Amino acid sequence: MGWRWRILLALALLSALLIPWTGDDYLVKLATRILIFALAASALDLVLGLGGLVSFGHAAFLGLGAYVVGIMFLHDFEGTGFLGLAPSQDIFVQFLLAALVAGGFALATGAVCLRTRGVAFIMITLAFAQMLFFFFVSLRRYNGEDGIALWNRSRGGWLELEDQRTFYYFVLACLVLFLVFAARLYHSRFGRVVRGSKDNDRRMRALGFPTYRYRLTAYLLSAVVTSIAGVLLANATYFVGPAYLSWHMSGQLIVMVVLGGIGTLFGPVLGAALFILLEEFLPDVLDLFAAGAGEYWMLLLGPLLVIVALFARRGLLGVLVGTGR
Amino acid sequence: MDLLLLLQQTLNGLQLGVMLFLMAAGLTLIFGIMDLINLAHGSFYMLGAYLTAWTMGLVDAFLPAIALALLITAAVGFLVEVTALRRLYGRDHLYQVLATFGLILFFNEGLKLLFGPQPIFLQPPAWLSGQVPLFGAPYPVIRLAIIAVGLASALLLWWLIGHTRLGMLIRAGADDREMVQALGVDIARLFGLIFALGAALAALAGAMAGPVLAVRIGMGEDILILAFVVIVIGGIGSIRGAFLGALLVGLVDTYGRAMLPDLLAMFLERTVADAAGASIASMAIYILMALVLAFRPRGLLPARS
Amino acid sequence: MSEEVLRAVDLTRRFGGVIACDRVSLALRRGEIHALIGPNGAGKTTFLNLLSGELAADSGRILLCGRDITRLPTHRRARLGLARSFQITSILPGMSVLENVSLAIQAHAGSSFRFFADAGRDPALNEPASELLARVGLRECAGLPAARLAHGQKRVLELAMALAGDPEVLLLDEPLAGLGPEEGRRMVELLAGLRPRTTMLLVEHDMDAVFRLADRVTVLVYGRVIASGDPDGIRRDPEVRSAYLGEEEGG
Repeated sequence: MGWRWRILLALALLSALLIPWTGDDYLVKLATRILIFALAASALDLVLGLGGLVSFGHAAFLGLGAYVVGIMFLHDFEGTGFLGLAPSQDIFVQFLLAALVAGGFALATGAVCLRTRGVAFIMITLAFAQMLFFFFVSLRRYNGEDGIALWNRSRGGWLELEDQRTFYYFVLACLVLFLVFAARLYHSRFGRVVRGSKDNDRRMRALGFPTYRYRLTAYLLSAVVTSIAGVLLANATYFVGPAYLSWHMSGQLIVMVVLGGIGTLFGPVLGAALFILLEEFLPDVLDLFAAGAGEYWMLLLGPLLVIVALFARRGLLGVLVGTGR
Repeated sequence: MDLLLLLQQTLNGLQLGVMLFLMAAGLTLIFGIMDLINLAHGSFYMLGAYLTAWTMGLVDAFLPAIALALLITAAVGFLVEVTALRRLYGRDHLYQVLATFGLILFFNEGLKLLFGPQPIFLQPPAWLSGQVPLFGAPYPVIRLAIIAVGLASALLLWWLIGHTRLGMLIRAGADDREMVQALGVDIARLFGLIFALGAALAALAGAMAGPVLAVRIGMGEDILILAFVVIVIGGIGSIRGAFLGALLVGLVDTYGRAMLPDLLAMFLERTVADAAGASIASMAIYILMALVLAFRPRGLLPARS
Repeated sequence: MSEEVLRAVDLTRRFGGVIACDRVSLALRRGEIHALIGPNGAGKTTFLNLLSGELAADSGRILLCGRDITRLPTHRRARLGLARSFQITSILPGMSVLENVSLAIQAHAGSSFRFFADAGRDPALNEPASELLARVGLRECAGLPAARLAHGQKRVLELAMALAGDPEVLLLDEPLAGLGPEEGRRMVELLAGLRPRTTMLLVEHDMDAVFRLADRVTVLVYGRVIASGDPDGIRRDPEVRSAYLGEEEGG
């Protein structure tokens, strides 16, 4: 990485660290939201960019993580047990649970999905996520479509997560940790096999790699990290609902990755920031032109995506840098 | 089990099945021949419904209104193919997903702008309203009409694919895209035609769905995913597979929702059975899909042997 | 009598009504270069795919150094020492030339479920990779993106990747395809130099190369073996001439 980029990165990190000190609560909340989706998008890039697998069902993992928080909260609030066990609102326990649940789901569905490729893979990942979506909608025990409103965040041991600033730094730490891991992963033996398999799976098998196992592992890793983003999302919004598992959500995650720059370390982070900022401010900008126009901001987003797909496949980072990684 | 209820549910399942077939047939052709994943196919369904509601206001006769709606949708489909999607053939599926996802957003917001966010209730014409006695119990005429139209379309498609020149090109294209091009066929026009045909079929499904379900923004997405499941079960690129898959999915989904709670009530307490039944029924077709894939990874009736 | 490293026994494969391979039997002796020739559509590539495991045989057996590998998937056969190069160049365009070879070596260098260490800086992988590149004459290109190599160089890289695991048996699918005369000559020299350490099954159309390299030749026509033996004998065999060489000389 050239020295110019190092400086830029340092500046970005510095700004990220300073945001809570502006005292602007709204800004901190917005930045938290961006960081959480940056984590989810980066996790998705493990399969999308690294593995070349178009998973259209990643919202399932996001939602599963969120529901772990919601369900634990509800049972703790009511004083009832969950499957005979006492519920825990400790965030680290919830991380572990989310990882187990999402990992299990990824293993079960991945075993089916990853034996297919191309168009079939996309449709099957979508179908499985939809299945979970309808499952949670039908679950009246957890309020189905209305979702669960949280009265408090998860407990973080000595960290006071109810404090917006502390929570923000906690999320930032999670993101940074993952990005460091992802950077190592790209160059590792494992990362090379997954990248090679994306380029030419047939060749990789002829070289002696059981590529299916590697793709499944990448899928698993991605699912686990996405579910952790889900835990954070539930805490950030004080809400859990089936909408987190919708295919619009899956689509948005893909948009974030491609918009920012697929297969790069910071692309998904940029893409998440870009998308959320658009979502937040484009309606207001449109309202300046015509009253009430802001409601239809996606009328502009749609064609923008088409244009990106046709002409700017490397995303924002590609436009800025000119080459890839 | 009440035989009459079984019959009614079977008919409901058939009705859902033929609508799914209309959606899936176009989609599977586009997947198989053009290797293009088109998420916006559901938007054509929605367009068909909205346009029918609009043309009914103009023409006030059901059949011409539908015909007009189909024509317009086919034209829109052709336009979309020529301007946006044509450049995406052979490209990474990711970008096809991105572009067609963008199209969904565009159509949803566009129709919301034109028609408003509230659902529209389409009144079927007098000769389709009302019910007929079926073994003593009343059954809606319109549902029977949908089944009839769906089966007729299936027959028409079967004739088209099996006995016309266009159909031969379609079958050849599904088998070997490059070969068809090498034979000098204007592949661009062929693709445009296939795309427009698929859009028209989806619009037909939407137009018929209008009176039965409501016409609302985003109605295309729900049925699109069902259509995906149909295609995966039936086999990508295979019309016969789409037909079989559609009937299976329609019946399994309908039977599941109708009968699973009662079935479970035989073993479990009523409220638990209702809740569990509803949940499992909502997942039934996906479980079916997973099962089929486990034993037949390429679907039940794949296009190529 | 040298031992057999690879033996195919009555391999058969059908596609619908067409028999691509009809009870094809072939044995590779250690250290030899065995050429497989035949007109287009004779089933040569299908046979290679059966041997490498990309296609499952309808019937018949395959033995690698006496071990039955008929039911094993491709990657297992590769681990056991059966390597292959492809007719259409099949390298990894997204990586550098060195990375391509280094990755090929990685397949035989222990577990790849390692997530933290930078494999690109691992001398245990890079040193053998550099050596291999030097041996095939691509050392100067080590840092280039593999996609930017000329066609001839890509074919050589293809070969290098197949050699990475020091295979017992190397299946070569038209290694000279698309090469000019100078490059072709170099490729022939390279292949000749691999003997006797590596045993090779060579599918080729270039008859000069075949008769220069091959110790033995087998002829495949319409999925069936019609002749097998030393190159001179094959050249003179009337049945072979009419079925195959006759087509070439005719025209």
